[in-house]
This record gives sequence, C-alpha cells and structure tokens, in this order.
Amino acid sequence: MRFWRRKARENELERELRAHLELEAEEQRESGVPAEEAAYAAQRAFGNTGLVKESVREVWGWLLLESLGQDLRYAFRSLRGSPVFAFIAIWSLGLGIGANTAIFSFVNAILLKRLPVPNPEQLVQLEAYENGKRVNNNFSFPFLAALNKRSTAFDGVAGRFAVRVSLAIDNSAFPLNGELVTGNYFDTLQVKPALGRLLTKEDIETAAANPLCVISYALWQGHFAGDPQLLGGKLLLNGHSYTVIGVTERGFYGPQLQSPVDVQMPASRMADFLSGFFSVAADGWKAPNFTWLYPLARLKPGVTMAQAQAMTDPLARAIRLELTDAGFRSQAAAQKTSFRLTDGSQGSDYNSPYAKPVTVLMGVVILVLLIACANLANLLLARAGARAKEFAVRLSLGASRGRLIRQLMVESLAIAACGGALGLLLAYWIVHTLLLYLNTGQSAGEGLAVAPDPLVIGFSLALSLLTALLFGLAPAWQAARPDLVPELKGTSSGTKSGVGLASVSIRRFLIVFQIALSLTILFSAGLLTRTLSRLKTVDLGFDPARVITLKIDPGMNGYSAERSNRIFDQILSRLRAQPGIAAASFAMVSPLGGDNFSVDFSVPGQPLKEADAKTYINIISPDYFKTLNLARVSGRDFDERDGLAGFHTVVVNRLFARQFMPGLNPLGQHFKAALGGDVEIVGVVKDSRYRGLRETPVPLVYFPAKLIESSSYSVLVRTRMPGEQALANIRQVVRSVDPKLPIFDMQELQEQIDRGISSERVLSFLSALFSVLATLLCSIGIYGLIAYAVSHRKREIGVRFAIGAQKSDVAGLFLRESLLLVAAGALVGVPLALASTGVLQSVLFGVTANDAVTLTLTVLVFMATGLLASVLPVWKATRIEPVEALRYE
Amino acid sequence: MPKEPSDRIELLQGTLDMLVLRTLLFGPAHGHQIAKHIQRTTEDLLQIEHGSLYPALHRLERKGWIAAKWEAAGKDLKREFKYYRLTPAGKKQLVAEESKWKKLTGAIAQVMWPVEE
Repeated sequence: MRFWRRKARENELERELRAHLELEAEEQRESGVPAEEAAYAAQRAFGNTGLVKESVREVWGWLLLESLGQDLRYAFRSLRGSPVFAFIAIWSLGLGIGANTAIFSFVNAILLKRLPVPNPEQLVQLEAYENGKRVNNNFSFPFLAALNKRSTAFDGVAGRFAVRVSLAIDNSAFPLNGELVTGNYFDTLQVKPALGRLLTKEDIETAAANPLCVISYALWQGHFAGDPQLLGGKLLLNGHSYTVIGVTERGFYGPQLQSPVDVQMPASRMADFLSGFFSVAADGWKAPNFTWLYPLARLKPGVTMAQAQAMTDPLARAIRLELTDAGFRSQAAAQKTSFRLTDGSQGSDYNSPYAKPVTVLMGVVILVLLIACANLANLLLARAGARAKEFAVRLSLGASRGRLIRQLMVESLAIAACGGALGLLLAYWIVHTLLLYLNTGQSAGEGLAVAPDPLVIGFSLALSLLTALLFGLAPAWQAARPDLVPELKGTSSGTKSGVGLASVSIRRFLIVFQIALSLTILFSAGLLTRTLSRLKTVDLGFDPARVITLKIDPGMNGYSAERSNRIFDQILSRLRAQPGIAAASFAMVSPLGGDNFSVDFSVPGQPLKEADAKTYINIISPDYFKTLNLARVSGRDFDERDGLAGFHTVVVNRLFARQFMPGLNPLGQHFKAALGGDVEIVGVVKDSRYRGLRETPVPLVYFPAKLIESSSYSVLVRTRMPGEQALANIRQVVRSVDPKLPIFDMQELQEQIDRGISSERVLSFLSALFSVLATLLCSIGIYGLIAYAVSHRKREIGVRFAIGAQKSDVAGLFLRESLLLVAAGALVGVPLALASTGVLQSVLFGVTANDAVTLTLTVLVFMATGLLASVLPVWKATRIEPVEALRYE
Repeated sequence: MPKEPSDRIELLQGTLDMLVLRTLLFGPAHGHQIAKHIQRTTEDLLQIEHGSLYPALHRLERKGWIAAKWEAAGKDLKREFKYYRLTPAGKKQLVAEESKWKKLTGAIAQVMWPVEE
C-alpha cells in the first residue's frame, strides 16, 4: 500500500509541475517570446525540474521521519516521567514474553526438531500390537531382513541397537555411546561419509573375521583431532580390535536426537557388546526369536504412511508366522499380533518424557502472556484516563486525532520493544537455569540440549509486536476521544464522565478476565504440585534411604564369565566387611532405574492365558532384599547354594503368587520359565515398584544370579555413612578389587528414583512459578482499579464521612467491590479451569482433574489476594478528611 | 548565482513559508499563481526559481497549514490545477510567523540603527 501511494504521489507531482510549466510557457508566448523559445524560457524560470522533484521527495521522507522521531522522544520522556508505570509495564511484558520464548525453545528442541538427514519425514518406525496394546518395538534380525527384502513400500528397513562401548587407548578406558547396525542402515538414513566409506551388507556378513567400525565426525574431531591417519587404523572396543573404515558426515550424530552416537559396528558383532545378559552363541544376533533391533525404515518417495501401513501389516504378520517356532508363544498368539507404523522423523525409539509437560507448559505460558497483556492494557487505560486533560488541551490546540493516536501507539511500541528486549534476556536466563535443573545427575550426552535459535527469536519479536498492537490500539482509541469541554473545565474528574465510565467498565472486564485465567493456572499448579507430592510419598515397597546404586560391567573389559563372577564376589565380600556398610548385593535391574526385563513362562496344570503368561524378572544375589529392606512374606531369601545344580529356585512377589497360583501355597510350587527352565519357589516377598513410580505393582520373579548369568550388574549398597563418604568408600573398595574397572551411574538410589519423576518436578516447579506471577499481576491490576476508584470518588467519600459514615463503612464499600471482582472472576474462572484441566488428567497422579479441595483452596487464595491488594487504597480512603475532599476540584 | 545555493534555500525556506501563507491569505491559488504573485508584489526584487516553491508547498501541506485540491481552470476549464488554500491552523501559523519576523527585524534594526535615548 505504501508503494501504491508513493506512485500516486509521484504522478500527481508530475501533473502539477507539468501544468505549471505549460502555463508559464503559454504566458511567455503571449508576451511575445517565439514558440520554441517559450518552453525553454519557462524551464529556466522554473529551475531544475529533477532537483525540485528530489526536494519534494525529501520533504515527504523527512517529515515522516521527523514526526516519528518526535513521537519516540516524547514517548521516552513520558515513560521516564512515570517510572513506576514504566517499570511494571516493561517487566510484566518482559516476563510474559521471556517465559514464552524459553518454553518455546524447549518445544522447538523436543517436539519440532527432526533428524539431520535428508527428508526425515519419510522415516518411520514399526511397532507390534496385541489386543490394542503395544507390546514391542524391537524385532529380530531375520524379521527385519525379510521385511527389507519383500516390502515394496520402503526404500530400506534398517535396524539398530544402542550399546555402551569402552574404548581402550594405552591404559585408559573411555566410555563411548555405540550402536550396532544392519547393513542397509546408512543407505536407509541417506548418510554420507566425511572420510572413507560406511558399513554395507557385506561388512556385516564378514564381520566375524574382519570387524569394521565407523566413527562419528564429532568423535573424530574431538578425540582424534581430525587425524586422517585414523582411516584404516585399529580401535580397541571392549577388548576387541576394530578397523576404522570411515567417518560419518558432519552434523550426523545418530538416529536419536538427544543421545549422540560415537561409533557404529556391525550387528553381527553383537556378542562383543552385549556382555550382560546375552552371553549367547556367536550366531545369536540372527536368531529368529531374539528380538533386539529397533527398526527405522524410509518410505519410498510418493508412498504415504497410510499406504505403507496397509501394505506392511499383512506382510509383517506373514513373516512373523514364518519365523515363529514352537515355543512358549504358540502360533495362535503370533497371529494375534498386528503391526503399526509410526512417525520416525524425530528418530528411533523417541519417547521423550518431556513431550507432554512441554505442551502443558506452553498452554500455561500463553495464558500468562494474555494476563500480562491484559495487565498492560489496564495500566495504559488508567494512564490514558489520567492524561485525559492533557489530550483535551492538545486536541483543542489543533492536534489531529490521528497524530495523537499515532503518538500513543509509538509509546506502546516503545514499551513493547523494551519488554521484548528484556524478554529475550530473560529467555536465555530461564533456558540456562532450567537446563541446569533438569540435567543434574545425568551423564554428559544424555541430557537435554536446548538453545534459543532464530525461530525462537522471530517468535518473540512477533509476539512483542502483536502485543503492542493489541494493547496499544484500544487504549489509544479511548484516550483520543475525550469530551473536550468538561475535561478542560475540570469538572470531569469529580463525576463519572463518558470516557471514565466506559474506561472503568473495560478495566473491570480486563480484571475479571485476568482473574479467570489466573485461577486456571493456580488450579493447575495446585493439581500438579499435589501430583508431585503424591508421587514422592508413594509406597515403594522398599526403603531407598541410604542405599547407593552403581553399575559395573566387567564384560566390557573383555573378561571371561568366571573372572566376572569372581570380581563380583570379591566386591560384595569386601563391601560387607566394611564397618560403614550395612548390606551389599547386586541385581540386574536396579529398582526404578528404567530398565525392565520380562520372560514367558508356563505353570503346569494351568491353562495358558496369552498375554498373562509373561512376568517381569530380576536377577539378584543373596541379601538383595536385606539391602532394600524389602519385606519377606514367607519362605526364605537366596543363599550361596541357590542357582547351582539341584537348586533351581526362585523368589516371587505376592502379586505373582496371587495371580498365577491363586488359592495355593506358593512355597514349593514349580513352574517353567523361558530362562532357567523348571524352577521351584522358595520365598515370597512384598510387592514393590519396579519400572516407575506411576505403575501399579507387577508380578515379579527373582532369579538367583548363579542360575542365569549376566556379566553386568547394578551393585546396591546400604550404608550407615553420609552420602559423600559412602561413595568414596565404595569407589575405593571397587578399585581395590580391580583398578581398571569402570564404574557407571553411581548415585544414591533416591536420586535415581527422583530422576524418574524429573518431568513432574519441572512441571510442578514451573507451574507454581507461573501461578505466582499470574497472581502478582492480578493483584497489581486489582490494586490499580481500587486505587482509581478511591481517587475518583473522593468527593463521594468526603460526603459520606461528613454525614456520619464510619471508617469501617467506607472500607467495607471498597473491599466489597474488590471481592465482587474476585467473585466475578471466579464465576468465569472456575468452569474454565475445570474445562481446561481435563487435558492434564494423563499427567496427574493421585488427584483427579476436578479435585474439589484444590479448587476451593484456589478460590480462597484469590479472595485473599483481592483483599490484600485493596488494603492500601482502602486504608487511604479511610484517611480522607471530609473537608479536603469536598474542596477537591 | 552570487550566493551558495544552500544559503539561499535556507534563508528562503522559513521566509518562503511565510510568504506563501501570506499569499494564500487572500484566497486559494495554484503554484504558478503564487509564484507570479510574489514576483509581482515584490516588483521582481525577489527572484525565486518557481520550482523552489513546490517543496515549500508540500511541506506546508504536510504540516496542515495549507490544504490542496485539484480543480478545473483555465480559459475553457479544460486544464486542471492543484489549488492550495490556507487552513485555520495555517492562519494561526501565519500570525506566529509574522510576529517572529517582526521581532527578528526589530532586533536587527536595533543593532543597526540603535534608537538614541
């Protein structure tokens, strides 16, 4: 539009000048100048037309700039004149924008980022479902190979599995994040090498004789300083020698957004890295019933996910049936499995625990921003009301309404700009602090990496401008329309002028709006905080106090099974000998550590119930229950004999006994498990939490370590000493057994448990913070409104006092007004709060989304806030001298 | 041209504004008419390039002291000219400029020809 106007102006100017020149030329001719000379003479009298046009253009530009500059200077001057207003306005906007930008950065990092490969939207994952529930998202090697070969929907179906790798250089061990991959992995992801070449199908097949590996660009640069000589060199991974054949391209760090991968090895070398549970045959990696690989497939161009889904489900089912052998899962069970495709653009096995909390927070933050805007609008309206006289004078002196409105808008934009700048600073600070809070206790590389990026900055700038327009326009419109005469006469200040009344109604509406939104936030915060406290006090079934957990994996050093066992025995006996240690044991699954293992089993004489014939397991040493203070119900604990020949025993929890052997005494019962074969129950223990705090207890079978071997365990130690001392003590003991043994994830058990609820902690913390902010903004708004009412009704108050009203009557008058506002806000806010917290239900624990107690408390808090906010102006009202008030004009 | 163009323009800008406003006090006129009027009434003493009027006219229009309208004129109403007229704000501005000018010339006169007490 600007451009069009400019063109029109130029054309008009051209017309005007031409008319002038023609007229002049005509007059010249009339005064006798010959025709050809006339035009020339006219031009000379006129001057340089081009220069004239330039001067006029300059005038156009300069005037606009000048008046804008005036407006800006005036805006800053008037803001400096009301420092309190400016401070509150800029800070409330800054906080709103800062919080929004910070959370949006998280949304960006978690929900919107995609894998840095070409066309990530073509990537999909595969999941197996049974009876509508997801049962598996990893598959066996032959299954994926068959799917890759026979599917027409995909450009490749690859599999991967993350492992921990110990890189030995000279005499030190470096922990790395590694990945076992299938031959078409790099092709499917369309990753290019930065140096050398990447793994292919042939490499997987020949890996037994010739183990190759590919390292990441980051590792190559960071650890090996980008040395090109590394190509063809050998690396000692978990004690095995691998030849480096290539480096992946810069920017690729694996298929998991938040865990960068340092090195990829062929899937056929699985035995080198899965030293724990699966010390299986060298061919185990391609066993048809061993499901371990996580799939990532790329859709053929032009194939939609729906089409691929339709093609894949029957094919996958067929392949599954072909591969299933007669095991515990009958063919009938295999037939019940269905397969679904899900989006893989954000990487493999991507289940960020922060996805839902971030969405919830985004909602809260938008509400806070709206409240901040409403607050600002309120502040500006109040300010405009106070300046009504000034505007009246200016209007009467000839200022145009448009100019006045423009100047007010510039003022709003100035506030928005300052608020936006402050918001950006706050955003950086909030992101930084949140990251520190979230990543405590996590090893490097596992934590979240969030940084404000251009998208975020653009978002916050857009937000600032939008808010400027939103709250700049309404008050500006209002302010530029005062009734001149009563304003100038000054009589409007005592009565309710037209503007005053309208303005107050709008302000009341804004306050009610603010209160309603704040109520929603406070209610949500209340629910989330109660969820957190419920989670923290949930009955674990055991006592984590003073228990330390640490992971030791001698298999990573390449030790044999016997040597590993000896190491563990030595560690346990030395730990138990320590005076400061009450009990020590080890287990394959550290409680609430996030791991879980399950096996199939069958109970003789009981009919097989498909999905029920599966139980969760743990593999433990003696004293496990003593270490955790897990109460025993009947029978005995394991001792040194259990697991050896003739003593194939297990301990089960109460739930297992009740579910699978109802009515029987579980002690002495036998059943057949997929691991360990025929076993006898020798003990029953109390139910306890296994995977996470939110789950209901599950049936659990404990196997003795000597029965089913693993080479990596979590050592659990109950200490009598305070934290730091205990950690040092344990480390020293382990080192005394074998100084070259790396220790992973050593922490207090309580810390590990807390990590599982880190997203709830964040949610609760942040929502509480926001509700404080929202309530503060509301109280400022209420204060402003009541103060305005008091100052506007000074005469009325004076009259009341004069005719005998008591201080308490006047106080009551205004306190009632404030309570009415809160009540109105509650009237709107309560249904709003109830409607919106339905969304929270999936995040809550131990409270329902319409919890009455929390709701009542919330409303009471607001009533208190309203009263508190009105205290100062009401107190001022009671101090009014009737004589002075009546004199006030 | 004896003087520096910038000097001349600067000097004339403020006074040119005043002259234009004064000219329009008698009624609306278009650019050519204004130029001719100034020339005539100053008996050709004030030789201004016609073109230099136009930046002044546009500036005055932007400031709201004069208003413009295209109207048909000329012998047979076939031509159109952009006529300017004084606005009430412009009238006030003229008064202000006049008094400023009088003060200025008065001050200069005092310096040049001090009144003997």
